[in-house]
Amino acid sequence: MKVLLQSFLILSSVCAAIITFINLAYAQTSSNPDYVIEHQELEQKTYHPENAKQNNPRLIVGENYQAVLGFGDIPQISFFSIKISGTILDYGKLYPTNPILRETIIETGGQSAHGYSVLGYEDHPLADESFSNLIPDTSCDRGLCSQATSAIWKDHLTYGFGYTCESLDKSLCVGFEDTNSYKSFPDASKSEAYQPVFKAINSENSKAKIIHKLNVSASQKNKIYLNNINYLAVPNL
Amino acid sequence: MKKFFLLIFISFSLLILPKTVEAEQRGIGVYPPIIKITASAPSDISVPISVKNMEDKPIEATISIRPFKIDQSGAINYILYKDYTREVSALIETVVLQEENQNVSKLVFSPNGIKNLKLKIDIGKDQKEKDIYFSVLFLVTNQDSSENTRSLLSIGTATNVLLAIGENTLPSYQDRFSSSVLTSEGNLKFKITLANTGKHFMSIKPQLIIKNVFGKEIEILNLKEENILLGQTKELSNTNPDNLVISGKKYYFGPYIAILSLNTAGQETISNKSITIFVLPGSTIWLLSAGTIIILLIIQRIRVKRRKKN
Repeated sequence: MKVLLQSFLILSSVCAAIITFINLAYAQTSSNPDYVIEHQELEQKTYHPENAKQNNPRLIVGENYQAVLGFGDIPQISFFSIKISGTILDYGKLYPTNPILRETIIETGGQSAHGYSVLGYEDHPLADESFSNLIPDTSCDRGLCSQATSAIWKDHLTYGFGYTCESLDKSLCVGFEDTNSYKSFPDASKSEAYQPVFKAINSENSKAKIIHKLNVSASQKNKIYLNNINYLAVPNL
Repeated sequence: MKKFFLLIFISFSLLILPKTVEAEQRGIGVYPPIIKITASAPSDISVPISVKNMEDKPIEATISIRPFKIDQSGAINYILYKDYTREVSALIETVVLQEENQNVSKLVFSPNGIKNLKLKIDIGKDQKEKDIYFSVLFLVTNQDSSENTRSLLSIGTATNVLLAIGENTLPSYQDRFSSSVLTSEGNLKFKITLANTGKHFMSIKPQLIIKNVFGKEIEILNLKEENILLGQTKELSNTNPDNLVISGKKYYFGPYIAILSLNTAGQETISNKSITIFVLPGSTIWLLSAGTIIILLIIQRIRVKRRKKN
C-alpha cells in the first residue's frame, strides 16, 4: 500500500509539473518565402504593405498617397447602417413615484464591418426650457449605477432617468446583467465619454431593444422637460 | 345612460394617459466603414465616401470629425474636445467633406437618397511623420416635437479613418503563438498575440492551418483582417469571448502541426510559425498513469524480493 501511494505521488507530481510548466507549446519554426528560423523566442520582422493591384476597386492610389477602402476580407459592399423604430419618446404627464417606461428598437446593418458598437449619450439631462429645473440621471436603488456600470433599479422611490438594453437578434448588450439593471446616459454637456449600449462581434446585422425609464419625486416641479439622446453605430477596426 | 358615462370616461382616460407617439422610423448608412490611408507629405488626399438615407422619408444629417484613441480592449474612445492637442486640432482642420467640390457640414437627403462625398485631407509639406485616427460621424438631426416631457432620439453612423503620414518605412511587429503540448480530444485552442512595434498602423490577415502528422491539411481557419494601431497589442480571437482561436473541428488521438500564417491584406505572406500538439484521448492519459503505476509496483516488488534474497 505504501508503495502504491509512493508511486501515485510520484506520478501526480510528474503530471502536475508537465501540465504546469511544460504543457505550453510556443512556435518552433518561423518562415517566409525568403527564410526559415527555428527557435522559440519572440522575434521582430518586417512587413510589406499591400501593393497596388490593377482592377482593385478598393484601392485608390494618388500622388504621395494610397488608400484602401473597407475590409479586404469582406467582399460584400453594403452600407454600414443604423435604424431606429421611432424618433421621440413622449413621457406624457409626469406623476411622482409612477415610473414611465418607453422603448425603442435599434437595428444595425453590419455586414461590411468586423463587428461594431452602438454608443449612447445625451446632450444634457432632462431639463425645462430655462434649464433651471432638471430631472437628474438615475444612480439606481443603491446609488451604484453610472454611465458605465449598471445596477438594479426597481424601487419606485428611486428617481431619475436611465435606460436598460435587451438583446434581440445577435446583439450583445454591454454590461446589463438583469432585466432591472439600468445605466444613466453619458452627458455630452459635461464632456462625459460615450458608452457602448450594445455591440456585435461579427459581420452581421443585429437588433436590440432599449428601454428608457423615468421616475420623478413629489418635489419635482410640474414643467415640461426635454433632452436629446443619440445612438451612434461605430464599426470596429 | 351608464354606457354613455362609461364611454365618456374611457375617452377621457385615453386622452390623459401617457402614450408613445409613433414617430417615423429613421435610418442612415455609410460606406466604407473603414478607410486606411498611407501618405507622405505633401499630399492632397481625396477618398470617396457614400452616405445613404435608409428610409423613404427625407432626412438631414450633420457631419463631424472626431479623433479617437483605443483602450486596452481595443474599443474606440473619442477624444474629448478639451483634450485636443494643438497638433490634433491643426490636422483635423485640414480634413473636409465635399459634395460636388463644395465643402459641406450638413447633408439633406431625399427619400432613400445617396450622397457621394469626397473626404479631402490636405497634408502640408512640413507635416511631421505621425499617425492620426479619426471617425467621420454622420448624425441625423431630429426636430420632432411634442407638448409633453420628451426625449428626442437621434441616430448616427461612422467611418473610421486610419491615416499614416511619413516616409514609406516598413513597420514591424512581434507575435506570440502558443497552445498546449498535450491536450485532450476536442477542439484545439490557440493563443495568438500581435503587437505593433512599428511607426504606423498595420493591416494583417492571419490564417491558421492544422495538419496531421502526414502533412495533410485537416483544417484552415481564415481569421478576420486585423488593423493594429501604433503601439497596440491585439489578442486574436475567432468570435469567442476568451481571446482564443478555437478550431472548428474536433481532433482525436495523434500529433498535429498548427501553422500560423500572417499575410498582408493583399494576401502576401509575411511569415509562418508552427507548433506541434499531441492530442490524447482522456482515457489514454489514465491508461498511461495506470501502466506507470503497475510498472513501478513491479520494480518495487523485484527490489524487495532481491533484498530478501540477500
